[in-house]
Amino acid sequence: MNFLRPGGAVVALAFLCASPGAWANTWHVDCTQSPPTLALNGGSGTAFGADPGGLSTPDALGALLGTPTQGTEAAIQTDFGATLAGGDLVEITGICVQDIYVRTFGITITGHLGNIALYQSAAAQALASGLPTDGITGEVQVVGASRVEFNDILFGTTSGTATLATSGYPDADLALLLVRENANVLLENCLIQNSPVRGIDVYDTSSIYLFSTTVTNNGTGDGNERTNSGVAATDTASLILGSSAAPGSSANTYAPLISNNAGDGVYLNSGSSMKMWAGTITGNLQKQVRIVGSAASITGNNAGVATITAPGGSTEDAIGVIAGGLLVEAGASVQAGSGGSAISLEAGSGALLQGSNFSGGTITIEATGTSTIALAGGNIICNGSLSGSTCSTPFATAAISIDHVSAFVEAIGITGYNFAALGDTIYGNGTIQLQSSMDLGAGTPGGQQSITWTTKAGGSITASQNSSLRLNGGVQLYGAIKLTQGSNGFFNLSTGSNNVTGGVSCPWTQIPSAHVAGPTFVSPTLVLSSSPLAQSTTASQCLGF
Amino acid sequence: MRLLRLGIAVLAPVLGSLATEAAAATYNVNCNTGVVSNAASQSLTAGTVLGAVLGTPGALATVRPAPASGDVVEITGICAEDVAVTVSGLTIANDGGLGSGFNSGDGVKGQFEVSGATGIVIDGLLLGDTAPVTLAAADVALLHAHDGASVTLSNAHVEFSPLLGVLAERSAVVALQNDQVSNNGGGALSDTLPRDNGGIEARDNGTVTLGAADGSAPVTVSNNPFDAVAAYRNSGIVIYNAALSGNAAHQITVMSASAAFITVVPNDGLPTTTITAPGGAPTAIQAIGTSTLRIDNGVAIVGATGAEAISVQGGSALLLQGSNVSAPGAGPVIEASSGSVIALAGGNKICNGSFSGATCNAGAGMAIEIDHVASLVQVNPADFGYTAAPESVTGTGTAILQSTIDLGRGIVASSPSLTWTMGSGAISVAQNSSFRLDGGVTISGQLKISQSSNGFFNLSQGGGNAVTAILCPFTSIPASHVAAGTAGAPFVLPFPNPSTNFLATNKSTSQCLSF
Repeated sequence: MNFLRPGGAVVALAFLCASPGAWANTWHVDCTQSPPTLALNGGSGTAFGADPGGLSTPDALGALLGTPTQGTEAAIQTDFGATLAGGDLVEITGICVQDIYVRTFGITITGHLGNIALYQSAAAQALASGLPTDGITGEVQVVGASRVEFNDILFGTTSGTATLATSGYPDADLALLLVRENANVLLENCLIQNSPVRGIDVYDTSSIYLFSTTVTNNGTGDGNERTNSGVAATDTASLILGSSAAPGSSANTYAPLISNNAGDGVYLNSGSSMKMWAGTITGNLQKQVRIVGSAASITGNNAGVATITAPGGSTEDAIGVIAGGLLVEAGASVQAGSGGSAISLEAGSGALLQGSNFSGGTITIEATGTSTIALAGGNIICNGSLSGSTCSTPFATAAISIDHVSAFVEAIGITGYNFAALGDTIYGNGTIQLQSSMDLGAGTPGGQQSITWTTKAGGSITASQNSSLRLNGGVQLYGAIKLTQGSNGFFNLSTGSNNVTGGVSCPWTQIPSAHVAGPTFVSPTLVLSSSPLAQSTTASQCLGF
Repeated sequence: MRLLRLGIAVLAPVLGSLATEAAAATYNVNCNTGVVSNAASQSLTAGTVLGAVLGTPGALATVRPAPASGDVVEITGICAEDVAVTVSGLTIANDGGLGSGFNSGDGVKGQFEVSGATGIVIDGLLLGDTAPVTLAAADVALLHAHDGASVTLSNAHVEFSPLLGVLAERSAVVALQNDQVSNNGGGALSDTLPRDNGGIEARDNGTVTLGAADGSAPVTVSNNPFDAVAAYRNSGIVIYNAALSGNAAHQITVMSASAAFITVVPNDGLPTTTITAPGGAPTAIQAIGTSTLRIDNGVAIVGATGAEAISVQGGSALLLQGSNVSAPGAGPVIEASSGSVIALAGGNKICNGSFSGATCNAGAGMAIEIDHVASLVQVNPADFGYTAAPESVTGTGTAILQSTIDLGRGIVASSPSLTWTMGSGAISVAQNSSFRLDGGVTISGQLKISQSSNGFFNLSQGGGNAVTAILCPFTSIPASHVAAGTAGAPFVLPFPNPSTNFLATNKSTSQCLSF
């Protein structure tokens, strides 16, 4: 089917798919027969010799679609007076045990029910009719072919780990479904499960769409995140999860489910991208989303349609970004396990967060190694458990940690996004370390302070090791600010007021070294020491400039 | 029964077509009459005839024989319909044929989609209209190339899309040559997102190029009510020759690990790349979210009054060489924020004010701002293949919130590598920031270092450093230091004479501390 652009949202797909009844030819492969049979346009089946898993002498499906070592067999033209071509429909009954290469553009491969309508989500499909039972056990590669669609197809097995050939052709034993060499593929109502390695691998500038599709239980869990992920997109590949929809609506988002894989849920590498319009990524044993030198955009469509949740006891980050970019917006939800972070940025990464919920973890959001976090309003960041908008204590270590020359800024009013003017809410402590910078306060968007931050009971935002903290107005902090070890605080009222219920202090042991500029621009105001020699140790008094 | 079974590998490509090789055909499609002329004339419906030849979003081509790679489709009239090309190697031109130039009477008023097909040439057509166009609900652009498609759009106009003019999405490439892209975006009231509106966009590993690699075939992108050219998520913009002006939003936006290369390729006096923001427009060129800009070889960039000409934010980087960048008003002209880097590679002129030829008519505002753990550095031009050349900055400067300025590449062509001039203003370094000169820098103005910021001066690049005055203002407690050699062997002139006695530091003269 061809996806529309409801409500003006950005289209996610413009695949060419003729409507049922308009197929150039309809092929039917029946792998419940022994040997499997092939029929054309409702004609009688022709037996193609059984050769499960064979490379050189394929059975019916391989003879039609192609295998690693051959294209569509010439015998098909001879037998049926036609051969596979763009616009054709291929229906599979049963499980075909075969390694497949698809090199023909514009074909659609379905289960025995044909090109069924899209379920609203993978979960809806599981509830309504169960997940697909027709499909392919083996490695399926789509090589350089565009607009190849699979609908209601099982890749892998219904139970037990699939066995893949480990040699004999390029990229053997990488995944159940490989998409490469500038190919593009649409998965609708599909199931990819029980791979010994990756579920899906997309690379070499190829792209794949997952609509109402489930990717689960892939990988052996050998600890190598590169070979165990549910979906991997590498080498300038594109991954699209779900479809756009009318703003505020969950209808027609066709959310996929990526769950319980032994490695990462989604692994992006080497200039690849992910656009997540909708979906659930949960229960994967390593990171739910790992972004390396790549970029991802995750939107909840203000309808809660994008959810990323690490397992409860996980020490892995829900989303890990290394030298990459991340946008999370419009009601997405990211939840860490007890030991990792909801978002971790490393090595020159950047994240823009808007209108979304982030919770859990030892540190809920962390930026390190010259990385940047920008809050664009409407976020709730909870270093505990989040239920609705309520963050429950006890909080763990910190809601926000910025270290190793990293920066945390408010970007409310940033141009180019049409974000609503809203404040951000944070629950938990904050730490700023090692030449890092935190800059808070952007006025009163929507009539509220731009940031309302509640620390752990008796907790603080602590700046240390030559770091900086600046408040510009529009800040309500229920907690304290501590400036230590050559770190300094800068307060101004350029965009409103600054309220710090626990006050600002500069603890030191031997020699004071933390300064404050604008001591009257924060409430309660500070009395600074006018001389480092007369400074009160017990009062943790700050120096002036 | 099968009569033949190949038991051994047969590696012939399977392209789904068994058509025998034939000479390239030309299809004449008359959208006024609905007539298609090829080997024989077929009379179809005027409103859908082009889709019957090329394909539509819902179906492959229905004419027989359908166009194949190498064929040419020539259009007469305006085809008011959506079309979707899926066959590689097609050329779609106006009724004068390929290379006959732009013809406003021939074109497509609908979405021209290229899905996965490569080697597509669209030449001499009007995509859109001369008045606002209404697209179907599923459409996103007048030209939408996606999923590995490659398209050359030449001698064409792309105008009055309600959303995007040109979109290259998911590993698609669109090369624009001798085109005009104007007045696109803002026509779909239900979707006013900047990323869905505007002139030209690359998204999700998409690439757009403007102008030919030899500097010919300039492209004009003007008067779009949203961004002129944009790239999102690992996408690329390459500008060899283009004029961007009058676009109400950003002239160029580069976001989410994307990149833009903007250059001038000399070509027999052809116009060179210019980027000019109109009054009231925001930042002319912005890179956000680990994105990169490389601008070199004579690009002219003019920001709107009070807005930046260039801004890099969120871990982004700018490499700037041999170009003129200006903006009047308060400035800054160029900004780096949030872990971003500005690297000057020689030959630049950065002007708060406006240029008259090569001369900066100085304003009173800021030239450069570096904030939130960002950096401004001068780099070795040779490392990037450039010839060293002196550069100049006119206007004040600021480095705040843990930021760094590191300048000086010695003497270049008998001049300091950098000459920074300002009126009565200063370069202000504050909030735990650092300022370093390595030799070959002349600053005509004050350098004010405060709030635990420090200055470092050395002559490692040769050529000396000169600053009109170096001050470390403080109210109660001095907290800024300088390392500047000694009075007898200074690394900057005049020597700032830092205090060696913390308690005796002269507040009235804004004396700095030594280390």
